[in-house]
Amino acid sequence: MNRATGLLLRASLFLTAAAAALGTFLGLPIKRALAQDASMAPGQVTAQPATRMVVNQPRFVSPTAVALLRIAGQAMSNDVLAEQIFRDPDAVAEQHRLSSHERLVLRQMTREQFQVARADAAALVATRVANAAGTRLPPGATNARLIAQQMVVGRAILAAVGRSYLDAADASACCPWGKGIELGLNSDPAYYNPVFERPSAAGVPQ
Amino acid sequence: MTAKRQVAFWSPVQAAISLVQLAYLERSLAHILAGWAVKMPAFAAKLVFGLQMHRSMERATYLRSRVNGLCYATAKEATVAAGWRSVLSHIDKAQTPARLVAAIYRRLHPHLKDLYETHLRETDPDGDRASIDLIRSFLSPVNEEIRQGRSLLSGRANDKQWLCEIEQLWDQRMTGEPLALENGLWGPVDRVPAAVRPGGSRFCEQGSLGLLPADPVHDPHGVGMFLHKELDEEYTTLELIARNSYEHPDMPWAFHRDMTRQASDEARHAILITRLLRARGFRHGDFPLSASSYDGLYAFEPCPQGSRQELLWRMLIRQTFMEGLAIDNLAYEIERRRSAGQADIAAVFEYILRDEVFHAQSGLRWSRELVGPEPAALIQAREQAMEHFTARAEAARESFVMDNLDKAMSELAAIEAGKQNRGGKPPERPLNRIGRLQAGYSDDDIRQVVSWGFAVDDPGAA
Repeated sequence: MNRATGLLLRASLFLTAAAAALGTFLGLPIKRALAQDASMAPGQVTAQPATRMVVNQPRFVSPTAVALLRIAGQAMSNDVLAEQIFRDPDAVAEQHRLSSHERLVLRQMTREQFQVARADAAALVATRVANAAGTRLPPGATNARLIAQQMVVGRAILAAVGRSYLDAADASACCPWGKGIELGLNSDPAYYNPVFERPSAAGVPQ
Repeated sequence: MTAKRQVAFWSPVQAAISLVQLAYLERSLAHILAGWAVKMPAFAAKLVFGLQMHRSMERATYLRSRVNGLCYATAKEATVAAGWRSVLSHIDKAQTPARLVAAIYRRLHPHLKDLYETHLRETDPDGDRASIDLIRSFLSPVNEEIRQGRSLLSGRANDKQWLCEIEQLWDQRMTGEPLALENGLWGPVDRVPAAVRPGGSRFCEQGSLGLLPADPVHDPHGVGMFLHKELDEEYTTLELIARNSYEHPDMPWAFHRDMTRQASDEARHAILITRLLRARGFRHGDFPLSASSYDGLYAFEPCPQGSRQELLWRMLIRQTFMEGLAIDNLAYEIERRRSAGQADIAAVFEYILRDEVFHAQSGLRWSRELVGPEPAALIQAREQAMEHFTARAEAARESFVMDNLDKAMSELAAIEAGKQNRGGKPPERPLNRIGRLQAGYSDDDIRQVVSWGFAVDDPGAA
């Protein structure tokens, strides 16, 4: 092996290790992260494997909403933080080391959203208490602050993704027909069991 | 010993009676299969039913034409006795999919074959030559259907009593008042708001965005997801269109020919897409299933259940809106797949595109039939149906996000990955003007979908 080949090999090993490390950091399984440079290039997949592929899931990092809920919760009682979010969400994101996706959501949080969420949560709690008629409600069901912060985050996610059917169709780069928003009932037997519960021998001459 | 020479063959009247019974049996079989496709848990059964309902409908059509030919000169109408309806509607009321399959392939199909053979034996070989040629061309497909259907049988458990009931009714089929072929069917015996799927299936959650492949073109996993989504569309459309026929037996004969043809097309598409999936190492069920295009389009709160308005909304949304988008998108996909070196996908989509044009055409034809001749009425009805449908979908979406903040964040990450993969551009949605015009879309129809933002009309692009 000459010197040039050795250098190339070392560089290749370094690049592979770096790709794996980056993938792992992003949450991709090592196998997928390594597969990127070979199989993701356009036009490289003409010969498809005939054997069954291993389906690696989850496909993406699973970013949770925990950090966003925490920040929204703090902002409920911290006007300074709330103002910071409305005026300079990127700085808040930086400060809390949020991911790019969390940052996108944070950018959607507005003063009005907080106000509306507080009012909606209070109304929801009042309704729940009235409907409960003295029966014990599950923990969290009447926590207006918790409900409000979930509403703020949920509505901000919707705003970041887009709320309309068209936005949903655009979310996927394929199959726009019928695939905007899932409306399936998950083959719930409750919907078709009565079909199979008809009386036997109805209409048969005796 | 010499063969006994037949001295008297059937008269034209007797031949017409035999043919009208065969036509009624085939038409009823198509009706039963159309009602049951969605209730069969096994996908293999849905495919068999989709393909066979069309064949039965077509055979019924040819037989009906021959009956008319034999009856025209005397201005008489050939009818069947109500006993036929009793036995066939009883089969439709089977309590389980297994019983239904047993009834059709152990009893009904063999009887059908016997009746065809009886006609060949008894009718005048010269006088009724046209019927003989027709029936001879049917026998091979009927035998094949029996073979395919019997592959769905799951054993003989608990069949005995059920099959006896059918035989009893079969023996009395010649009794009862006369029924005309055109309106001799029975109404739907049930409503099925959710498509039945094999036990243990995983599903995309209601209100979610379903499968979100970041790169549906170059990444093998993304291609698998893309094809998987497409396959679910084929099955759910087969089921919905078949129910459109089944739940409205009083629609014109030509409507049922169109619906059963489309159901059969969707079954063929499912076979083609399954082939593409398998070639890439995937199977149906590797990803969560979606029955959205059936469940989400079956019923609408403003429409009375089983009404013509409900049928109209199903057709407007599925056949004239969504199938229109399929015409646009398939033309785009064919080029995209070809450029990516996926000639097999491009070739399959070429075939599917040709069928989609017919499906949209049929949707437009029958929607116009239901709303009346005024062109603006169709546009208005579609606007109204879509307004309700999208509002309901958006409400489900909001509910899902609020209840699943973590999952919604994962969707956001997947969407961003897709955007990044497209260089930050939104997905392309070029209008396929030629395809749409061939399907019969008017300029107003096209303006409507463009104004909604689902397609981009670039006259210079063509």
